[in-house]
Amino acid sequence: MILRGPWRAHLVLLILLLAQALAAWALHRDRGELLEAWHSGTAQERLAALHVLTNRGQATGFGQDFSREMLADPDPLIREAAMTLDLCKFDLPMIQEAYLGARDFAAAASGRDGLNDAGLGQHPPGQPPTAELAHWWRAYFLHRRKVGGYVVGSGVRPRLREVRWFLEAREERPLPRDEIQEHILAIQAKALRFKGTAGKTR
Amino acid sequence: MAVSTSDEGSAPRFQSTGTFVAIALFGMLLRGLLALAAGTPELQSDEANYTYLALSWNHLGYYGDSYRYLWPPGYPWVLAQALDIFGLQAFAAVKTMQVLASGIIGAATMLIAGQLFGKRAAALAGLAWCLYLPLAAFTHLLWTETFFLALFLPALYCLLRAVGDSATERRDQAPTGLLVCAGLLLGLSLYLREVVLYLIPALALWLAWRSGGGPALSREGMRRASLLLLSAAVVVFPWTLRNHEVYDRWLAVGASMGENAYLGLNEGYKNFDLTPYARHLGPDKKDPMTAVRPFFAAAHLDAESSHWERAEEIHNVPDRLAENAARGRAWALAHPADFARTRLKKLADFVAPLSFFLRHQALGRYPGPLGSPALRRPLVIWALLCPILALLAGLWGGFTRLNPGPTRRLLALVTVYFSATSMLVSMSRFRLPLMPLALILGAGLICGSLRGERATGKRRAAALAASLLLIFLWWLDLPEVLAVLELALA
Repeated sequence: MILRGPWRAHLVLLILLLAQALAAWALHRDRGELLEAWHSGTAQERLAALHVLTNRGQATGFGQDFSREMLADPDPLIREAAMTLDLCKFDLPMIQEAYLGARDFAAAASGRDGLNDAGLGQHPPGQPPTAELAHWWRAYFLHRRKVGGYVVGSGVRPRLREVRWFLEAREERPLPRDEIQEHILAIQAKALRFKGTAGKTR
Repeated sequence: MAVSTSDEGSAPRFQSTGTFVAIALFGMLLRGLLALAAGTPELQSDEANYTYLALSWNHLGYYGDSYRYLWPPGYPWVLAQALDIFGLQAFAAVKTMQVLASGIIGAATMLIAGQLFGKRAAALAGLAWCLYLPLAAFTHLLWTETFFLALFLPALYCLLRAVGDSATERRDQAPTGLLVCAGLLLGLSLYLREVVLYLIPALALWLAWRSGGGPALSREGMRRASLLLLSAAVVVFPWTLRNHEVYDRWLAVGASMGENAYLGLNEGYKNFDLTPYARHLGPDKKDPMTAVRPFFAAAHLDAESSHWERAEEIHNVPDRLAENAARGRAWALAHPADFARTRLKKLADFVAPLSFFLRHQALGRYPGPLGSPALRRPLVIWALLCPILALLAGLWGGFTRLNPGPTRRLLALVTVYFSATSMLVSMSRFRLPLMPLALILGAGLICGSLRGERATGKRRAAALAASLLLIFLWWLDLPEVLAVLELALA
């Protein structure tokens, strides 16, 4: 009876909803499966698992030590993911700042010494590195332009040319190091000016 | 006597189609020219945030949250696809898509006007839509509004048709296809802006109430309401399930209430028509925010401090946002007088004749010919006049041309709903879903007046009272509007 007449559409929609719920149930991964994916999957699988691990329920164990481990990973994509909100929301992102601010960036990237020697919390960066500049810019962009505000390490919102550099960096094309440096310093100077003005007028 | 909503209450006839298509094309052409004249402005506010989310989605392979918000994924997804395909030309591609999508807004505006007031009003509403600059400008800005309205307005049209058809043709059953279509469109619109989340159940109640002229709640009413809800749910549910998988919380599509409570139910005053000026104006320019009348904007005129902080210690985003909303509610309950006094300002900000177009002009954000004095000055004046004229005409049209019945209830529901959403954080952008309706009602008013129709004294008195309230709200925001205007015309 219900299959005919004005209620048929309801039945179809209910079946669709049920199918969606079943698909979600089938695709669900518990914490153990997510951890396994994080430890043994491809870079994309690891990041997809990490995104859930850091957000599901009351996530714990993702402080600065975890970020440090990520930043020592041989895969640049994993190191760049350490810059995102998923990690930076747990603690003040000091280790991320240090990574970006390391003077000997190539050393820092390989986890040899730059990460430990760089002054924690120093303003990044005086000088963008010469080595692995594309990776550095992707990491810098993901960290300092993220949505979320200063408490998670964000500075200002992305500009058009920064987007262009990010797209070029994704394709590992050479980036204009001097132009980037000039641009970042100009933004820092403007931010400082705004802070000064805001302090006076408000 | 007011025009019956059903005397010409049919969809525009076939012979009018050419006119309507021509008007829609004209509106799209104007928007296309506007986009060309705008040049490529630097990314502003949420435009930049959406771009970041799109880029990180492409790069890392998942959709991240925004810490203070859980934005629906629709617009970042569109940008992500465009960036993947077109690279830096993605922004031009999305703007082109928005110009095309605006044609749907124009068409829906004309169809609703035709449904309510007839063909002549439909054409008039279409022309008004063509020229309504604050809305047109969103086709070259990277905000969700254009795509959202291109889904939301057709959904409203489907609902009106569904109810209108059953009333005029004396059918007991509203067309299933129209209701399903309305639900699907509303569900899709949620992926762009979660603002209609609570409107959908309200619309279901509207559908259920006295369906087909029967008793208050009937079997047919329940059928209509549940069909709308199920149709919307079937679109949204995959993302709800994704949210549950990621956050372990049931969250329909997104969440912004917590941050809006922080910004709107706290000591400070926020209005995003004004906030960018402080950062971008030189020290020699007057920040319009400093012109705001403090009595209506500032909480605690007696300097009592009750600022509350966000729940930063909670890492689960839905939990944190829910806690922020709870803290906001607690603040409002503890300070009822401050809450009431400052809500007047929210309402004033909602109807203030400002717009993001004006904001861009005042901040000198257009690098193209649109920012040149020859174009800027007349367009700034026009952008200021547009909402003033539309709101007044829409208000009079609503009060004097709509007879009691489901159509009037629907438009009243939508108006009250969107006005209520501005009670936390308010700005001109939030009233945009109502502006096509104001244009439609304004067109109905003008066409009715041309036909010599007169509303009853009671209705005109109600319209006059509402107009006086509107003028009072405009007076409330006058200082900052004048300050913005000064910057935009400089």
